[in-house]
Amino acid sequence: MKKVNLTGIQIFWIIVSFQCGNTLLLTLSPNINEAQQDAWIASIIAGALGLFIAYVSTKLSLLFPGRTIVQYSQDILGKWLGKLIMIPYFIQWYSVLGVILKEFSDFTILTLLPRTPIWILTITMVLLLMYMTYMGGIEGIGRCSELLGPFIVLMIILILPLNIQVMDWTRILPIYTDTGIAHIFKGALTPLSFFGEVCMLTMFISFMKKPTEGPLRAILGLSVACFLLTVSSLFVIMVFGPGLSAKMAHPFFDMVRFISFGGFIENIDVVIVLIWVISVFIKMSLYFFISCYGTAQWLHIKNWRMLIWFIAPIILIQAWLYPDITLSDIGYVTKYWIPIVLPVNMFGIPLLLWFVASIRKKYANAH
Amino acid sequence: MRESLSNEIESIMTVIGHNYDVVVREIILGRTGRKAAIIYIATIGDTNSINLNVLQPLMQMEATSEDSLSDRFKERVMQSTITLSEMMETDSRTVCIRNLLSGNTALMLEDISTYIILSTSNLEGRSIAEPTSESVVRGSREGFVEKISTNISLIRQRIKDPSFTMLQYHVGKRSERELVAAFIKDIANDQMVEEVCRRIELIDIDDAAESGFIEQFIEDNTFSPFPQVMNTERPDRVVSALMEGKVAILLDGTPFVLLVPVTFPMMLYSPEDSNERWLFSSLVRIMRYTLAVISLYLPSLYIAFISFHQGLIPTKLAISITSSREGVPFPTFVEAMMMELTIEILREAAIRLPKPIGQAIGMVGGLVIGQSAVQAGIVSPIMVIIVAVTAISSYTVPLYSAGIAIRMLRFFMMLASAMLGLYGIIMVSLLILSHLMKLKSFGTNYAGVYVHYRPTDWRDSIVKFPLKWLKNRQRLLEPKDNERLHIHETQVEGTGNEGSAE
Repeated sequence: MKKVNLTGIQIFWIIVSFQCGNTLLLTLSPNINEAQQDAWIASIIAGALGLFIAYVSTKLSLLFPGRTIVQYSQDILGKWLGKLIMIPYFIQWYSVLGVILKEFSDFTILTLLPRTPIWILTITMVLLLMYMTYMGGIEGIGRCSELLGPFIVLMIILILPLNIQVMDWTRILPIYTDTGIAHIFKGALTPLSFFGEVCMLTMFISFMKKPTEGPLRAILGLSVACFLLTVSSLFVIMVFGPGLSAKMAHPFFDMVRFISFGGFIENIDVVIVLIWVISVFIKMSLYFFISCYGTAQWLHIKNWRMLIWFIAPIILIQAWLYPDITLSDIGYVTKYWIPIVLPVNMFGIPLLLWFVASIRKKYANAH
Repeated sequence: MRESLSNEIESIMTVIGHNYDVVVREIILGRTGRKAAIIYIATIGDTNSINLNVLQPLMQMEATSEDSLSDRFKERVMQSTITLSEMMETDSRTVCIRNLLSGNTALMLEDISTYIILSTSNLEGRSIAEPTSESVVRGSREGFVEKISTNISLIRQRIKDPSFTMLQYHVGKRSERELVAAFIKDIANDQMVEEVCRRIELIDIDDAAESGFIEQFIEDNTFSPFPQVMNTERPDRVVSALMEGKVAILLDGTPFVLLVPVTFPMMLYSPEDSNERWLFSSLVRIMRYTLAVISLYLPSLYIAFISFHQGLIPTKLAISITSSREGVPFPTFVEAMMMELTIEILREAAIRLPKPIGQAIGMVGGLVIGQSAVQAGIVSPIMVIIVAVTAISSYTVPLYSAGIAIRMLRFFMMLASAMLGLYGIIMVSLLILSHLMKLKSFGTNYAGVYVHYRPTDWRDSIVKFPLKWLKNRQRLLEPKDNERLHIHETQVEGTGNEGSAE
């Protein structure tokens, strides 16, 4: 396989750009539902725990420079156990691609193209993904996020303050006393399960020219995403109040739709759709790439690009099979993502691998 | 001589053919009594110089005692008889014939087996004039011509660096055109130069008539709409590219010199940017970027908003647009396509027609688009504005081939927006972006200036910093020598501003 290089800055922007879109749009509502006006505290907690995941996955990868998790899980646990422990990841990667594709098409149809059949959107997106992954690979994705990441952040920062006239800061009161720690932690679960997706860094650190830059860049990137989420949750609560925003499907989107600034800046919800499409595009190409690349390494296939032709139809069929939005958006997250993926894939396996690898290294050094 | 003189002449003549302009002159060398012959092609040779510097001294040679030794005699002919500065000796008949066909004269002496090639070519060519495709207000008025030697002299006048290197190639099986790859050895990246040379060597075609042929052979991605090789008529542009560590490719017979590798910002550079002061150049360059974006997106955005997302337009504007579209029988996409195509037709016609008629076409076109189409109710006035702004913006792109790329992508974008609205536009934009991100030109990332966070490279990309701050060459090209200007201490004190010292 050809040697490709990622820079530390690319890792930073990859994390920022794939975290911004989905997390802002989808996690606010469940978070506010649980933590009420303290959702912003929950966001900070989720961010902090997310940073821990980022730290563990990057540090773990640094122990095996130039190798992905598919390879070093076998170094740590032996051939068969190592291969076996990757299966939860493959289930996660393959299934999340279909879910994101379904979410993406639903949301775009809802906001932009109410009369367009869904298969056009899914197919165009998958074709774009195939082009991106086939031609650019991880290097192309890295460069794209390097270019689009600043654009996403800038857009979010520019549109957030436009609702300042209708904001009421008393809506975030009282702080903490109403909800209590249990509710705040429950609220933090959904954003945490999205932030936890940084555990896919275990696949990317191996492509870095200077892998030691990895942990810091990943932590910085996630901090930016966490900061934006915290600020947005504050703003959403200040605009709509906790009761109303908990009932909305996409409160962040509705907040932007609500903007009417100076009589001429109106109807700028297109900007959100733009940010969302870009972010989802980067997120999906990342998942698409690691699915192809990881599967190729797992099965010892020389040319990982071959797998594009195999995985693309799988995603498409998945997206078509979901009957409605409740199953793909809500059911998937509450029934599978939070109870299984979060503890097993994001915390359990990386920590286990890190633990065993450290002990083995120590043991090897002692002898 | 292996064969007798007349046999030798005959065998050369059978190769180059008994054409009317081939002159064969058999002479006797003055008092020595030896026989000789010269062959040249009268239409591309300098007859005057042959008469004066070759024939006259040869026919007036004195006899000496050493003439019987063939080697001595040949040396005497070459060293003291012929009064031309350039000549060479060759054993090969192929070399001799190639030289004959490029206007040189072959001299054959009896009993001597080598050919003496005398440089007498006199090819016609036009004189240096102002380049028409890239005009500037402030800057050099010299443009390249069709003759490669003139072009090289134009570059050499501007570079006195001894490490300026030129590699000569002959391309074309039948035309054997001269091709020169020029670069500055101390600056240009070795690997890149090697790659350029390798690709030039691989060219195998009957006749590479224009540098466009070379371009199509050496470019990286044949299916990309973006030009990956830049062409220019301006010597100053070539020189500044050489100074950045790029390679220039000159071909005989065309005034267009190729520059590689190309990066995206080069498409929106004008040679004038470096001549004007930084504030103005920056403003103009930002404007050019904006206009390029406008010319790419405006018609498709209009289509998307009118036919898909009326809700996104502010209400008052929406009302005025709707009222102006009243009575137009076509959907917006058809309307836009018609007008865009009309513009393309007018443009093509104006180029192809002789100049005086070309202007008339412009006027007719202006009338057709400006008024009659609106009065006839075929298009709405607002569409005329959109199309006109788009067309004018697209002409501000300084590099012609980049303008073509934007025009092509515009039609693609319009099609996508007619089918899928804003979503289509976003998708096509992402497609173009991901294509740009992976596109390479001779190992250099095409859009690398924007994505690799090297602030020193940005100083001359979208905004142009003051010249004093542009101390380093673009690191994207990995030049061997990074410093391009040195600020002396005294100079900094003189400005009285520590900001310029940076």
